[in-house]
Amino acid sequence: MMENSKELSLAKRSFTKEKLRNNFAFLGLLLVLILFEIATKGKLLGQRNLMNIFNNFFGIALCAMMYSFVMALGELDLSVGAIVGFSAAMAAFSSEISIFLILPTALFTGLAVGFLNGFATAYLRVESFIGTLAVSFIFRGLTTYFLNGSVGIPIAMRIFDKNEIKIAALAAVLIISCLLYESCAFGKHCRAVGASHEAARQSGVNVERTRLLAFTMVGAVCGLVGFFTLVRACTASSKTGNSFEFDVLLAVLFGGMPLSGGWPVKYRAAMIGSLAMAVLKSGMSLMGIDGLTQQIVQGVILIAVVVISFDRRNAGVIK
Amino acid sequence: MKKIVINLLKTLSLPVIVYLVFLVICFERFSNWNCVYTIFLQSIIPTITAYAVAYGNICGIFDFTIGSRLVISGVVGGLLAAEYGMAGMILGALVSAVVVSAITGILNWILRIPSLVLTMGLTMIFEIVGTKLAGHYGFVQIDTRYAVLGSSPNIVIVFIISAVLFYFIVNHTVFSYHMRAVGSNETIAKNSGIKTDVVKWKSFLYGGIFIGIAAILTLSQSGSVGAQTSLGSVTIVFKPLISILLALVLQRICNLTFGIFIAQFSLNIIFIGLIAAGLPDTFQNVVLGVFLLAVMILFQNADRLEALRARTKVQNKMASV
Amino acid sequence: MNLRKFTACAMTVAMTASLFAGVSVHAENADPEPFTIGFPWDTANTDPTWISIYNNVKAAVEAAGGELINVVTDNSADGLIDNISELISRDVDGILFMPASDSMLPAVDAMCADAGVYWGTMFRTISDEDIREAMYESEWFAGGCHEDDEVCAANIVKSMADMGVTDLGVINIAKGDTSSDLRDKGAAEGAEEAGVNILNTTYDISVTTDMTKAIESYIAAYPEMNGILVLGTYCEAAIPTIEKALADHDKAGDIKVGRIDFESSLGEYLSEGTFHVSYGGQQQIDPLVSAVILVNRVIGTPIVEEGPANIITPYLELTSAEEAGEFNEYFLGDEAVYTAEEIKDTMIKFYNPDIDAAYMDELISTFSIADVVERHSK
Repeated sequence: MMENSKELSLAKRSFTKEKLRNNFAFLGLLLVLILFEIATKGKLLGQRNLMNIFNNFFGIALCAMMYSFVMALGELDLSVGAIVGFSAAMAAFSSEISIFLILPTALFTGLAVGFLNGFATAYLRVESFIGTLAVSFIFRGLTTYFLNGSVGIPIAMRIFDKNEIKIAALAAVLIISCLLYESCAFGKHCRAVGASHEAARQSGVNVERTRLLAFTMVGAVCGLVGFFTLVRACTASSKTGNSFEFDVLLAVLFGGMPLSGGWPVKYRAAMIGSLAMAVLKSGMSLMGIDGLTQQIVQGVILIAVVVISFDRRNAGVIK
Repeated sequence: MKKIVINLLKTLSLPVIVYLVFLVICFERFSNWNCVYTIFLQSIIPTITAYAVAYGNICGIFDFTIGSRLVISGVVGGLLAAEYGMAGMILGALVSAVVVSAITGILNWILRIPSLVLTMGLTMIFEIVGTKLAGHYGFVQIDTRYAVLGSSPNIVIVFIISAVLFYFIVNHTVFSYHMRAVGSNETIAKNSGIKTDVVKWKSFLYGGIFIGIAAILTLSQSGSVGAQTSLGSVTIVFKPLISILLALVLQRICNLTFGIFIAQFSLNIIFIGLIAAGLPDTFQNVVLGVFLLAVMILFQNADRLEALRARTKVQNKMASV
Repeated sequence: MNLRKFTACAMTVAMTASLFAGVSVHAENADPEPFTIGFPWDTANTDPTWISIYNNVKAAVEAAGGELINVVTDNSADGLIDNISELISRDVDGILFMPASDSMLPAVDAMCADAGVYWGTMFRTISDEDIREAMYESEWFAGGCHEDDEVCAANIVKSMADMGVTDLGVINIAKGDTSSDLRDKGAAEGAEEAGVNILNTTYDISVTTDMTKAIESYIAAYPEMNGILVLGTYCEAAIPTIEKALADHDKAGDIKVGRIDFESSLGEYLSEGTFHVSYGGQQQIDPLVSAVILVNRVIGTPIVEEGPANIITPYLELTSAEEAGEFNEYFLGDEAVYTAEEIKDTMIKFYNPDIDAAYMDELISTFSIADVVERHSK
């Protein structure tokens, strides 16, 4: 009887621990929100600053949502910044023919580069880390070469920088990606491939097609981010999308997404991480913290979040 | 012996072919000894940096901190050079590189989180440490008296010593076998009694020695080392990483130590060749990306290509019958 | 007199008194209303030039009793647009920034016009005629200060040609940046005029190792090269790195070296005779005067009544090691090239109604290293 109650209390404690760890990123986000709200005397969640947080959040969240599929596969995509820059550049050029071509060009360019990433990774068996790094070199170089400076688009295109449109776009991507990830076979296939591609193949999953689709989707959404970046600044330059790959990677890691892929990859991590990044950035800026300190804080928090939320028990080998 | 010579010739054919291509494109600029020698000298520091990256790579660890550790080491070396001369620079750079690398390794051991995440977070912190150490001007400069190691022939001697040291550690120590075991399957390595955490920590430590050497040479060659922020130091690791990947492709015909150098040398021929051909420097990135992608595709699909070749052979035989 | 009449008279007297009181209060108002200026700048960059730019802008804003609000930026077009949006949400009265390109300016103007916030630029002119015309019509564009990049680049190339340079290797900041493009254009014009052959241009070098590599590659690929010109770079210790690479190849002194924009190490190489010509020195006065233009507009005493104020800062030439030392001490120190007190007296129209465009041009034309030393030496 005594042993039973001891086991029960141990099980309860481990259940609570598990729950805490699973929701640590979310709790961390809440904590960051409360701390900065107090430190900035309520300015953080003021109506105007909320729009700042949204603007910081928007591009990273759009990409991070689709990035979940690549992370679920246990892969990385280091070319997202280059795709954003290249698709913005191509879209800016297309505006010289017709402004109606801007969105389709951005989307198609992103999709095409994403397809290239997917094809190299899935069918040509190139490691995603290296393959996407190579693609990133190629398209950064091409963007600089083609732009030969910067290219502007008509200021009228700023009409697409409206919050209503961005919220609608974000909601659309959120619904599509969430449904695909949580409720459709594709999301499950991605996680299954990430857990064990051989086992997934044995279960009838088309591993190559799943990989190809995931990278292509990330490419397409990067095209969309490129479009919104372009219409916001009305200019595409060789710096467009610079270090965006690190922003997205940091966001998903902040959200507690494991690099190993598979079933532990939770979709919500992308949203929580993107939001946490945006709140952190905005909060530190509101407090007047200088750039050097901001970087240290980000580094420490990244390590702390992963140290606390990382599931070592199921990770097996940690590399 | 004959096999070794053939393999050596095969390995050397890579830079020779690349060189010949550019010699045809721009004969006047490429057909001088100074040009080849400069390419050789330019390959030294990236090769030694690649040796530092290689330890983690063999163990299957990805390390973003290489660049930021190199900056810290260079800055400390530069600061101590002003106080204690060349000895201060060498000791300062080496000791700081090893200490920071040991700290990175210990954190990797005790925190038990993926190295990619840990090193990304640490890079953000190390970059600021380097910036703070560099002080008001954001960079440290050494007196030219202490920069003798950066010019020929001293840099070549340091390179040869480094290559021999790397070759010895990677090929003739028990640690190298342990490293490979951890890299290929950590679980099996652990079950075989290898202290995998110690091996990984040591890989950071040994890598640190080469970071220190690379920092000394960078400081000696450029005369200064500047701090970097906003993950700018991460890009330092990319090009050495590419040479390691090319070296892995060449591994069938030559060892890693020589392979890394040959890969780096070939890449530098391309870079200088593009400049000599008068092409804009933006092409360097495009060519580097295409080259890397092509090599990786060939490397990863060698078995398929072999099978295809065999099938074609059989088909040809059948046709002739 | 009944109570009602008495009250009416009393109120009339009180109101008249208060009216006069109001006038006297305004007349006695010694300082402008408090205001805030937003400034996107990379405070993570520890380059002394970057720090001095921040210090000079701060001095100009504080001279008129304002507060400077900084947000960290990467100085890219999209980064700056986000920064400006953030500053607008923080209710600043004016925004000063270094534009990444001309094509981003219409978006900035639209955002600032919507929010009723003045904006100004520093270091960069507007090259695109259509954009310039549109911006000059905007009531929210206060104007800015810039260098004549094209002329400066053309002249430095000609100056190097006079030293015997015939084949030039060039380093410049990233393409797309207005200054980079104008300096490229000016260098090409100068080269054509002086018969100099520009061998190649390498852009966007940010670390010393890449600088060494670029110079060594030039030496290897272009044996005929006899001049290196840095049109611009964000690489710290650029000149020491170039000098070291040249020395390693026994080319120091033989290959002439020139640079636009001063940096802290020039004196040493000027005295050694291995560095030859540098035009620049506006990195402190340019942001300071740009901030002055914006501040004057924000507090309601614009330097130019109609349209934006546009001031061109003439470049200085560094001729000796002594001058370079003075530049390091007085331009790159913690103090601005004009102290807040000096700015208040000589550049803020609220305190000095004589200020106009001609006055500012004259003031700037007297600006030199010797002038700063004279004012600030203890």
